[in-house]
Amino acid sequence: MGVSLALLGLLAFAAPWLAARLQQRFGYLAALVSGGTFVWFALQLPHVVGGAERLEELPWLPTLGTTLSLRLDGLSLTFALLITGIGALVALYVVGYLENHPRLPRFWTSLLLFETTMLGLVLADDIVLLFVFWELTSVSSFFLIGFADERPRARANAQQALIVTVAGGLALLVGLLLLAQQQGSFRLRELVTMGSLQPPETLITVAFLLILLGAATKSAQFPFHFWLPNAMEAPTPVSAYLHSATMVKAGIYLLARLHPVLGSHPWWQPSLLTLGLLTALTGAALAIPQRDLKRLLAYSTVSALGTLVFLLGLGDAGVKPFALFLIAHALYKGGAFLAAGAIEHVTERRTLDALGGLWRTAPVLAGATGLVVLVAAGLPPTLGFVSKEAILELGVETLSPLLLLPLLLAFVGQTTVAWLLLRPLLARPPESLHLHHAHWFSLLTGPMLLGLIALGGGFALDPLRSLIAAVIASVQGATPPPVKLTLWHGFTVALGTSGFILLSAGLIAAVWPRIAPVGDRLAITEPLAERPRGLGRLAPERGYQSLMSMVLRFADVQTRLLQNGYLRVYVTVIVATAILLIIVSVLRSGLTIPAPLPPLTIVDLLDAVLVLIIIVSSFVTVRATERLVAVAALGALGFSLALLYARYGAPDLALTQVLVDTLTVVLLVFAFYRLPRYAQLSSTPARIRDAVLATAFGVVMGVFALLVHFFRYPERISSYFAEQVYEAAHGRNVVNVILVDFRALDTLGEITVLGLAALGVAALLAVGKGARD
Amino acid sequence: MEFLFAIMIGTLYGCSLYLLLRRSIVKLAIGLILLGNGANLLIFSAGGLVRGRPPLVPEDATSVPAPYADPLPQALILTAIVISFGVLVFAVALIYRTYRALATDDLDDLTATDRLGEVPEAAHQPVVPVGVSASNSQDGR
Amino acid sequence: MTALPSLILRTAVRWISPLLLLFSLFLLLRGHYEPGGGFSGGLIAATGFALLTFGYSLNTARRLLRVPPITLVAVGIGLSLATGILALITGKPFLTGLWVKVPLAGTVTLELGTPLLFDVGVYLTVIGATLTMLFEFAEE
Repeated sequence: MGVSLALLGLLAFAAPWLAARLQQRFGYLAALVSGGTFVWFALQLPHVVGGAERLEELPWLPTLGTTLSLRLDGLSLTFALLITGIGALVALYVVGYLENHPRLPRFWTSLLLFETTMLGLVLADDIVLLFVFWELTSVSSFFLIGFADERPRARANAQQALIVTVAGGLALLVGLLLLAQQQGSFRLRELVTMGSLQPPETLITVAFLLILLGAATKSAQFPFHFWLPNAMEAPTPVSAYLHSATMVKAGIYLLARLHPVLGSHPWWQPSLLTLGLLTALTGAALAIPQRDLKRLLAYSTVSALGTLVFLLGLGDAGVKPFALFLIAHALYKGGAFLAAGAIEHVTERRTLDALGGLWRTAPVLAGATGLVVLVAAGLPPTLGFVSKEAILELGVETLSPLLLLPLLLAFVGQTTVAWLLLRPLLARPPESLHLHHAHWFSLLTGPMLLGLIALGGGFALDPLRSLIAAVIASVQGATPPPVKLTLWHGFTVALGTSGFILLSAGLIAAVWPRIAPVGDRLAITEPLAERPRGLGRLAPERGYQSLMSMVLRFADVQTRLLQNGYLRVYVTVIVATAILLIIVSVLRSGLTIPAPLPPLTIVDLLDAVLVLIIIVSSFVTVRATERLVAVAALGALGFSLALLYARYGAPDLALTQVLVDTLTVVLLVFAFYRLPRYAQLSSTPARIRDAVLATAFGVVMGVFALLVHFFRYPERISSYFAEQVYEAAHGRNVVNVILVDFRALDTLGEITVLGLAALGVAALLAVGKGARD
Repeated sequence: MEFLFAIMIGTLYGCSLYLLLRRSIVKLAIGLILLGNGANLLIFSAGGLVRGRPPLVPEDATSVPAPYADPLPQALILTAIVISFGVLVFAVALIYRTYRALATDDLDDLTATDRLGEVPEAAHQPVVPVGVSASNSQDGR
Repeated sequence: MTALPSLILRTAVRWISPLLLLFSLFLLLRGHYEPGGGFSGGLIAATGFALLTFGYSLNTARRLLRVPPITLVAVGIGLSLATGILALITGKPFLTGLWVKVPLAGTVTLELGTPLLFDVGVYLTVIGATLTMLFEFAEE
């Protein structure tokens, strides 16, 4: 497992270089690697079904008890198969979809990074590791949604998706940590076998709510669903892969994963059922009037995600239909997106009413699309049928009408979307619909294969049965009884319901041209405008909008307040803060001035003269009206300082100070020829005010200097240096040895700073030269 | 001596702050120098004043005989002196460029970053946007 | 800035600059035992080139330096970094001082260590950075 992650990750980082070299062929390579990983995971199926989990561990942050531990069980295997399998097909698809795109290398990096991190997310056994992968998928999703970064909407929507999912991610982090703290383990497999506390602690409840929030944002649950349709700004392979088949299911994966721990929590069932149904209904209702193919599919994805959460909320009984629907949906929705993308690629159109007649003009494309529709509508003998039957059977037999009716309505909506996909094939062809050249092999392999697998899945029930059993084992945390799975149940109530759904959805799809204008009038078919009208005024996205504008307003106000452009205001604030901090920390330190003052150094006449020179020269620099006077005073100050250093046991400092002082004076003389006059610009009141502040600062710093001397701590690092300098460091000059040996890392940093300053000077002055020539 | 040092440090800090608060951009650079010297002296005197005993190991010994001047502040100050020099030169270069581009030495005229076009052109040279001139710099040599 | 055509200055610089460079090497090498080291040595060497700039011209100083000063910065930082990595390779913490004893004639041995190399890196960086700044200003 680790190897497959490393391989994909390596490919992601090699992509900028390799993809530039191999051009289109890189897509085949990516598909090959991804496909190879898929095969490896598929070969693990017998082991996992047999109950043998695979574990791999690498120490990561041993002091924190965090390890790079990966685990493969039924649930993660299912996800891993979806991620790598669809990943391979999507990679193949990109070859044709983004043919000759100039920024292809960047795209590959983001896409492969996503595949790696998503795979890591479902394999991680350590919750810290899981969280890291979780956030990384959000980041790569951000780059992919904003791939067409010349479009403002792409940038804004990428940001929106990132903010929503990462905000949820933060809640998730807190929730996971709380859970781990309460249960005493960071390992998912240990958490799962522990079961939950009975009755649950308050903190567990908080943890559950936070985790649910994280999962709801990631999996586009109501009221956070709005980012998903907006994410359709991404290139279509991304929509197929991230925003329908895999990433948006991360939240659902997490809920399923934590089901053994949190499933018995009294709030689990009500909150998941409500959330799931609301989302399923909202998605279905908003999907039907959409005109844009991708938004249509996005809303139906929202509805499907809601259904999945709902099924998890049903507890153990819901797990089998959950697993079936999870797989079926990934197959047909991924396929539907790929087919829609192919249609868009050939016709350069994406709106339903502008398409038609593809049945005749592009029969192979139409065939692939039709195949996907069969699965999406849940017609026998496809996997779509099997999964829908399982859900309906459960629903008809056990659910109260209060829960069943909304579920059925959601299914009607999702099925309508499936039927609507037939419009581009069968509707009367609009005029001037031209077909463009396309890389058919690349564009159609994906939807075809996904459709065929879903079709064949209905017949190959045996391997499916064992996979489902393994998923149930992971989600329920116990070995399930043998899974009952048949293609044909006979004429049951469920079958009748299914037929009813198909018919009513077909009717809605037939009158769609009348429904879409209603959607237009309600303003739900377009992305939310800045000044929403109709139903748009009630959209949850409004909350996001007003939150963002509040943040901007706040930033504006505080920037005007704190960054007003006046240096002296900044300096005043910094100095005032420094004075305050010094006073507070001296007062709070609890140090008292020792009763007999420590022995002071006797005043020496020469030293006193030097100090006097320094004091006088500083005042001269302040009072000088000529630049050269100030520079001369600085020179005198610097040389006196050097002499003082020399007399107080610091020959190295004296040497350096003299040299720097010389160079400073030289430089200032050079530079001052070119600099403006030494002007007096401030008014007298301002000068008096500044003088008062400066005096206060000087007094505080002077007193501080004195106090530091009195409070000196007895134990000092320096004595260690003084003792070890010869024995350990083979030197005699302690100062130099500190610089080049004991604290060499600091020095390394300092010479780097010096080098950067030199670079900065060179850059600044180079700009000037170009301007004059 | 400690009291004299304290007065000296206070003076350096006070004078530097006064200069930093001036509107004239050149005084800023002088203020920076004073501030650096003041900080160095503060660290130096915090290590204690020991006259005439540098922290060197004599030929016939293997450690520094006490009393000796504290070497740690010295090491800190030594690099600080050189770095303040670098920062000062950078500041002077920045001031110089600002003056050339905006034709003012009054900090109160520099309260916005994007006023390049609004300021009257410098008397001695046309105002050239930074981006344009950077591309010319190669053929300028 | 064009050089001042002063004969005295030129003559003095002709003798003083090489001496300063020699002295800077001396300071650098003795730094581990006596006052001196990479920082002060580097500054002295930079002063020597500054004098050349005054006495002769910027171009003379540049020519005598042979390499662009910014290259010295890169080489210096690189050298210091390399001594740290050397310690890493031998399995010690980054920047640990490594010493070898080179036996010279009789009982005299010469101790060579990476801290000296590190100091050479400091020396080069200081020369490079100071001269980069100086030359750029002199060119204005």
